[in-house]
Amino acid sequence: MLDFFGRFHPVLVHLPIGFLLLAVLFQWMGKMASMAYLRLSVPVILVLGMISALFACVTGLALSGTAEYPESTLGWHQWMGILTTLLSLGMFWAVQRKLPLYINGFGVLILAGITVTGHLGGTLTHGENYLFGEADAGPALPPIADIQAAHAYNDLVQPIFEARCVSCHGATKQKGKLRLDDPVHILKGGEDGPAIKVGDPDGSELIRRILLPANAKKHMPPVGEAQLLPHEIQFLQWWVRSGADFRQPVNALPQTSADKQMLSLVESASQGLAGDAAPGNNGGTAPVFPLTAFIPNKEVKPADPATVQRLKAAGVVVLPVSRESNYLSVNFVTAGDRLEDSTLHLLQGIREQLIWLKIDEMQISETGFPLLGQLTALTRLQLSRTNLSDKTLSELLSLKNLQWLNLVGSPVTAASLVQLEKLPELKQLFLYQANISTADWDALQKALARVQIDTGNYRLPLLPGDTSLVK
Amino acid sequence: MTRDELNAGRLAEEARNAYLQLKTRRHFLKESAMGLGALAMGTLLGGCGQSAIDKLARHAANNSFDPLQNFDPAHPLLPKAPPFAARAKSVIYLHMAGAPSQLELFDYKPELMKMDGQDCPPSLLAGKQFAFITGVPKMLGPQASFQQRGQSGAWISDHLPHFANMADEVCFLKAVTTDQFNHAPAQLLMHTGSARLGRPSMGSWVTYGLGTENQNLPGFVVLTSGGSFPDAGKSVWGSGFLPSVYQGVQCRSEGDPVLFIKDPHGMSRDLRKASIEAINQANAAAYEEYQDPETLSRISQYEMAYRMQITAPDVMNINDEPAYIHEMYGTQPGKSCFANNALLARKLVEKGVRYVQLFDWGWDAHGDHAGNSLNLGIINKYRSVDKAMTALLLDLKQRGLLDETLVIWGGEFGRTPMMENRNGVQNPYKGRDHHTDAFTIWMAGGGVKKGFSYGETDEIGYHPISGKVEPFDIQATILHQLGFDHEKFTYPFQGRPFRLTDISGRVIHEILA
Repeated sequence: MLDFFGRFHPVLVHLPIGFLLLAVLFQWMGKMASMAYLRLSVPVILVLGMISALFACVTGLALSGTAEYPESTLGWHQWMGILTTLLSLGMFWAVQRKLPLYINGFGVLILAGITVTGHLGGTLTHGENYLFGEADAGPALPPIADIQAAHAYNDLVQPIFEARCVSCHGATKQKGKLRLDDPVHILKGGEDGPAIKVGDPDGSELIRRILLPANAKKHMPPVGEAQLLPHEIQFLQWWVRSGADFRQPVNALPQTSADKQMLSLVESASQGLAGDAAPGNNGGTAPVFPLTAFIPNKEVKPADPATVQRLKAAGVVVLPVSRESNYLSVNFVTAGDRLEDSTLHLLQGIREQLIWLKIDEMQISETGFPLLGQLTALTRLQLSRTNLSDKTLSELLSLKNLQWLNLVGSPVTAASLVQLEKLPELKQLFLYQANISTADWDALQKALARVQIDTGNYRLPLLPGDTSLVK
Repeated sequence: MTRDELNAGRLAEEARNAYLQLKTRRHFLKESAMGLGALAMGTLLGGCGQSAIDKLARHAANNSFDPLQNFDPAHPLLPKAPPFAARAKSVIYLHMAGAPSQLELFDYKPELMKMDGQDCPPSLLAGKQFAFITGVPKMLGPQASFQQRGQSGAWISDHLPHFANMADEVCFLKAVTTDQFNHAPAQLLMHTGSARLGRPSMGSWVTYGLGTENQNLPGFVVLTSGGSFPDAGKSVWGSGFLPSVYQGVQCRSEGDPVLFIKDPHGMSRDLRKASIEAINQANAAAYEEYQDPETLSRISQYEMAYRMQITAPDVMNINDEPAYIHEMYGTQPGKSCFANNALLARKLVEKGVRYVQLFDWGWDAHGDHAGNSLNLGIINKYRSVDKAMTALLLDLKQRGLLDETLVIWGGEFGRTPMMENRNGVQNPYKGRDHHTDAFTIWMAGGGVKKGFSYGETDEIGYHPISGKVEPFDIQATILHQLGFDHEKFTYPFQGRPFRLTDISGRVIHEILA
């Protein structure tokens, strides 16, 4: 029943806001002789304002008990609301007594009270940053150089809890009687029972609360607080599943191949390499690398406009990867079938900004490949159906930021492809129609263990249904 | 008087008339009405055929993102950077026009099987309106056998034996809902954001906002199969109130890829080029005199048409593909079919086309005749797309294109768990009526999760019970993947800013990788 009344708070609060603003407005407008009659209605409006403010307070108190709001904001909102109600009483008194100084004083205070209370209310419903836009939750984890060697609890779990949970579930405050600041208390749980069920993330209250929809009443962290990032959630899920161990390093705990993928992405996310590279929930299949993961976080100065202009004049598509970025993508799709060295020399002028390069069905000269090798900011390179050969492939080994390499239709063999292990960041390699055979597969896999290799050449079987009709 | 002299005389007279026309009252009034406002603020106009007020409004509304800001009427399709970093560069939208049945393909409902043949409970009919069902229909169990596929365990029926292996590559939206139960309005809603005519299609919005990387090909290509256009007609790829250069260009996989792309009989390519140059010179002269930016657009269209003559036949000729690719897609060279279009879609995206829209007609499984019966004609529809759409995904994947191409598959609505009883009489074949509340769409590539399902329907697939999404949400998500904020990407028209998602739409973040 109380809950039900509480739900009228969002409707009712707008009445005192309107009434009280109107009362102050009429009071001040009435100072002009031509509008003096406005003052006659001020006491009536003030009474209406007071009554509606009272209702807003009562429903507000009823609402406050039903959901998890950040305590301090709630407290301020509550007391400021009550204060504003009292101020309206004060103004009514001053108006009745015709004390101009007090009337104006209460008027100003009411305006301030409504503004502050309203803002706090907005913060409660829409979150901390609703007024000036959403600031993303900062990373919880410090940079981790090698996640497998890191301590699962000290280096990962605890920093996540510190950043996201401990402000309400720690030594100073224990909401729901839960503390997450040390192993003993974590295992003990809170008033709803144990927070984690070792080995069973889905059965663990802590994980369940985090995974509830953001607007659910029991979702944690509450509305307006910094939320866990997807890779942090996935790490916690794995940690609980692998036994919620407090003593051992990550590599001592059981991991499936999918877990390994996830962990390496947690590592790169912690290093701030790619804000978006955090793995999605992929139902156990290979991770998705969205295009945004191939844009460095580091800022870069704008490219030389004259060079860009000259490239464009040569029919080359040069585009920033987004309006807000100075990084460039270059596509030779309409630039003919020969890639001249002069054009490659031009690219050197934007080599700091050039991160994505697409060259398809073009001939490149022997002296051109070393020029490509100097474009060291590249994160994505497509050299499909070009004359790239075993001899020239080694020129690409200087591309130390390269994460994605497409060599579809290039006459390169496994013997030279194994050198690609020297590319430290390489994650995906496309070798459809390259010069490799199934016998090379093992050697390639071994040399490029970190890399997702796609040799393509998919075939679909011919099924009876493909060539017959039902009649 | 020789014939040449006669012709010269006629030409001179025509030129004189054209010149006099410019001095007529009618011409003056027509041009003044359109031009005076623009003239008044000519400095603000900057040469894009819109009023200065509109331009200012657009600038304010777009929050500094304005595709027409540096608009060059001579190159309206020049590529532009997206407002924020994109997760997909191209879109291939496979629309099964007529609305495929989710209950026979992806939404496995064993409970519905138990109700097969029973009268529909009144609770499902109260307050409902259907396109054809009247009175109390019978329930119809799934006309398919289902299995869980891949690591993700998605249910895919045996009707799609090839696609069943793709379960871990795609992302299902299983609780899509719409508010239109007739084909044309529902298709319009899906592609233009409004069930009524006149709004720009999604492909038009995208090419308006991003242009296209290959200036020798159209930015927005439409391919149809199945023997008929979608019910909504060409409006479903129209440009609405956007400049008409952004409308979809319909191409064909049979005969000439683009109508009239071949040189006319007896006319050589050189002569063609010379005549286009002459026309453009005349247009350039007209532009010198009147400064109408539409003239520049016209010049650019002639130039692009000529460039397309050289490039398009090459890109659009699927016959150059190796035999095993044809086998993989199951193409039928020389004919018009979905498989040919799927292969063509891959070739176009590979060459930088921004938005490829496929429509395959004939999915309207009412069961009023054998051709649209779930057990007869519609099975042939499954077969006609199963292999080709699977091949498209694999082919994009092996070429490294899938991560930057967003593929969407779906219809305009779903189908009822009830068997259709047209006019209260049971239909002669097994069929289902149009159903707006719940249907399935899948997406793949383009930064969307793999092997993932979002949304659930009740135990007979009638209503969504979680993860309900609307066409606006799908549009918002597609725009998001391409680097737009769907709420800020607007175009002022008739006094207010319009956007694809109008006043709705939520990016479905749950499905994004």
